[in-house]
Amino acid sequence: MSNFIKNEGPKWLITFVTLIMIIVFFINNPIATTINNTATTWGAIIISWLVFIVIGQLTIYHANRVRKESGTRRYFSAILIFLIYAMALVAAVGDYISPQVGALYASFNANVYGVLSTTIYALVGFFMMSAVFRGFRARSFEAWGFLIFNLIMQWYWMPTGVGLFPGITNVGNWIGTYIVPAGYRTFVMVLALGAIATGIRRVLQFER
Amino acid sequence: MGWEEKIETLPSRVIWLIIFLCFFIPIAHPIGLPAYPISETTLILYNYLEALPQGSVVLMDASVGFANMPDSGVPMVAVMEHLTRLPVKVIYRPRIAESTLVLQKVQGDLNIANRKVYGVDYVNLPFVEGVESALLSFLSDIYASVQTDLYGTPIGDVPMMKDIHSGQDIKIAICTISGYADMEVRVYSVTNHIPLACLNFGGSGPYMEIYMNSGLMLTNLSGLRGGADYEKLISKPGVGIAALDALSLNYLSIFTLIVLGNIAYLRIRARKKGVT
Repeated sequence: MSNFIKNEGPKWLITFVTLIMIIVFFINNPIATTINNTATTWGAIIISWLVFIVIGQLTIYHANRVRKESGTRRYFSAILIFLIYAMALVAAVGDYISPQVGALYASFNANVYGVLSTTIYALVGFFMMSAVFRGFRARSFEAWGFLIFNLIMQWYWMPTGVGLFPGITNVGNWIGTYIVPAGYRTFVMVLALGAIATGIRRVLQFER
Repeated sequence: MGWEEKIETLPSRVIWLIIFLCFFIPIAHPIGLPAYPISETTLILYNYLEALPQGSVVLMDASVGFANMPDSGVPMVAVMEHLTRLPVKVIYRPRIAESTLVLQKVQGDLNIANRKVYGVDYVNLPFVEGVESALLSFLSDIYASVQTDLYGTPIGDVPMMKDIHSGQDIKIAICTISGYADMEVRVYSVTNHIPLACLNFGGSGPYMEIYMNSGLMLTNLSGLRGGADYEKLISKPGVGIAALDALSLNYLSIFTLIVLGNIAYLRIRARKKGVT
């Protein structure tokens, strides 16, 4: 019984709700629609509670670290607990307390979070560049083709590429019109078939 | 150790330094690389917006965070500037929570509040959770999907929304995204038959051509390049034009590194096989 409540029950519940959602997507059935709406509402309620539970779990975890750890980890955890509650409080009731608190939240988002996330995004570019340098090696016949097309398309998309070598436009257009769509369509079709197959296996509990 | 081995074992930090210099030098001292023509994809959107009749409704659907602002955000800023100059009505709809703040920041930077009348020329809608289903619901019945604007005013009390009820009233949807546009194509083009233009990240160009070639998408503007083209068209130089030389130099540097890396790799392999 305990195993059913912990594992089997929720899994079959997910299967049932997923099947209902698929039915509603294709067939306009009032009973299925009612079940779907009720399940969706409960889903939203559960997710909302989950946020509180996650905040609680994080607090317990980092409170333990503050108690047990020493040095910088301890301060890091203490700051994190403070930030979690400050963010949750400001996001939830900021505008109700005063418009200035809401504006402060927006300002933090634009001027602190915005700048930090842009920096992280840019840093990823640095890693990608060095990975591209090491990854693009003509190790096989297929890799040769891949490399040549890559270099042509790089030159084609380079803003000054056309200025340095005007003929690249025709080559780039031809690759963009015939080669890329063929490859991408194949990729999407394989992806779609794989997603359907995996989806069916998951819904029917073959994949866990 | 020959030069081939040195290239093969080039430390990542050296590559990062090259990339950094390729960005820093042209921004500090513009070097004026050869000019390039404005891309066809950018012209399509510009001409389409210019040809819109007065009072047409444009939907700016933003799914972009602050992190994407130096990339997908560049064409978005240029297009928003263009829309502000045109006699059209714009609905700003954030598709992710962060986009609410992004749109407001760009509106502030472009001083749209003092150039257009809120509620008459443009409206800011709140973020609604639900991604694709929320978007489908929005396009089938706006009033059922969104009760108030971003500031709590009932949608029915916003003057410009009186004549806008569903996706059928929208002349073009401009989506700022950072990735694949499958969902946008499904929702806008296939289901609702609304002309779709995307403002996407820098590397999106090649695979977005598939949608353009098949007529499912009007056009796609790719990152800095698309933004710079658009800035040229509206004669308002911004981040795009400023960063173009840096972008070109970086393309050139990585192009050279890949070529050198492969020459070194092939020479080492040939040496090991005893060919040379």
